[in-house]
Amino acid sequence: MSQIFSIVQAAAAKLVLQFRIVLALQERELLVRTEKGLLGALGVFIEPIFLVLTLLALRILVRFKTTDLINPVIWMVTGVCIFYLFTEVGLKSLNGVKKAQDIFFYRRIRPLDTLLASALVEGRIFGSVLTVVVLAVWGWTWQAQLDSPGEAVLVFVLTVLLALGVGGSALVIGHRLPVVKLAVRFGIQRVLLWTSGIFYALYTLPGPVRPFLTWNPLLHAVELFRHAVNQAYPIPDISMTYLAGCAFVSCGFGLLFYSSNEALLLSEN
Amino acid sequence: MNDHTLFVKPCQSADHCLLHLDGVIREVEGAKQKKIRLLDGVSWGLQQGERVAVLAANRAEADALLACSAGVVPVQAGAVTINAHVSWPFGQPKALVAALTARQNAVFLQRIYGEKSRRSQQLDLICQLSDLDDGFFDQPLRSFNGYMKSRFRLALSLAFDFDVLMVPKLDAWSYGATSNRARRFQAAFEAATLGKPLLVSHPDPAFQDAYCSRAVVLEAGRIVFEGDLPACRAWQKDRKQQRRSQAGVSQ
Repeated sequence: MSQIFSIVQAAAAKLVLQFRIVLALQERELLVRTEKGLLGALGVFIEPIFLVLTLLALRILVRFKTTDLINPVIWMVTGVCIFYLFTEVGLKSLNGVKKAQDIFFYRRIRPLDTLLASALVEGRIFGSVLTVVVLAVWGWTWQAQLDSPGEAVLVFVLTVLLALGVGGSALVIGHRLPVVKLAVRFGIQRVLLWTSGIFYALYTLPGPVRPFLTWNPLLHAVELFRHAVNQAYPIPDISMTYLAGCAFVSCGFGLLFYSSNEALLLSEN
Repeated sequence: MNDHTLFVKPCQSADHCLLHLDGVIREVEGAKQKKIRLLDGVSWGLQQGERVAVLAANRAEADALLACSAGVVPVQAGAVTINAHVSWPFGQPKALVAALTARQNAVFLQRIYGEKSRRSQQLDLICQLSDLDDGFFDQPLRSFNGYMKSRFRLALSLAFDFDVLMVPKLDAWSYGATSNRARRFQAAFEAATLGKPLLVSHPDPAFQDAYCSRAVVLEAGRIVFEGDLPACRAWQKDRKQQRRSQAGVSQ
């Protein structure tokens, strides 16, 4: 009995230490971005907002088909934040080991800790941007609408989980097969950008086209978030179960893949 | 097998040692991308209570043994088993961020290696040992000169509690100096290492005499002799003379 207790105690101590490490890393990451950015702490949040504004300007210029069910700014910011949250955590992990090489000098820090810290940082940044923009639009239009806050939070958390899972695998793949980074930068990332529903609503597309897009779980996340804002927003062929399934499967696979390859990540100069 | 290796004690198993190297090969890239082998199949272990100096004609080999034992550099072959909370080589934390202040860097490391309840105490110790001019503890590290940086790095190493300590040549503190700063470093070093195993590649014989009882001799990346510190020095001296006389005969 006492042996089980000591095992549980040791595991709990390890978990607490990992929490401390991840929190320290995310705080350091935010501080570094603040110190290196031109606008300091403000710049960390303003940069994504400028991205949203640029895409909005592009949308107005090109006259993409709009939807009158949700305010266009909220509609756009939802897509941008969820897509960039995923790419910043999941796809940027391809460079994760190389980028954080110096920090592995401290033996207590493992590559997974840097991934978790990055997920926390990006989650905080894009979560704050989403909140600030939505509040600003509500203030501007004097109309507040968020029909299902629980669904919105759940979609956001599932997107972070999905990004973590992909990031876990990307850490290993990016380190062992550097050529994949090129394929992601010039191929996969662009495919994801155009199939994630940032520039269009799925229900506005003709039925036969939809199966070519609905394989992408990010499209489900984006459309479900919009549906959470206004329950009248139609989401044909979109499913929370699919998003949750993708998030949990990618997370489970990513962690397994990472844990079986962790030693390889630290075994080179 | 080289006849000099006969003097090396048989290596303990990994489970019995605080840290254990088994057939470790460490290579680095030198000028013109030439591979330099610093450790060549080293098998060795550090046990509880041992304070060991690493004697080597080539200091890079001694430092490589320290770095591999601390687990801060990868090895090309062999295995390193670490069964204790081993420090990084003192005075060498590489991953300090120049854009952040000394305090921010210290807080980051304190959160990883320090105790939550002793945060302010450990930060005060780092600040005191670094002996920086007024306000510099809250300045970015990029504004520090080399001496300030090396003092800050050593202060960081001395502030936390480790089971095994790795001591290379320390730029910030010369052993035996009588300045207040040196005395503070000596007091902190003695407090940090009290009753703990050490692995020392510091080349100063006075420092080795003060803190080590045993030694290993590295030659061409191999441990060729191991024993008491005076015996190892005598062996190293004999070997040097032997080589000189061999060189004289061949000429």
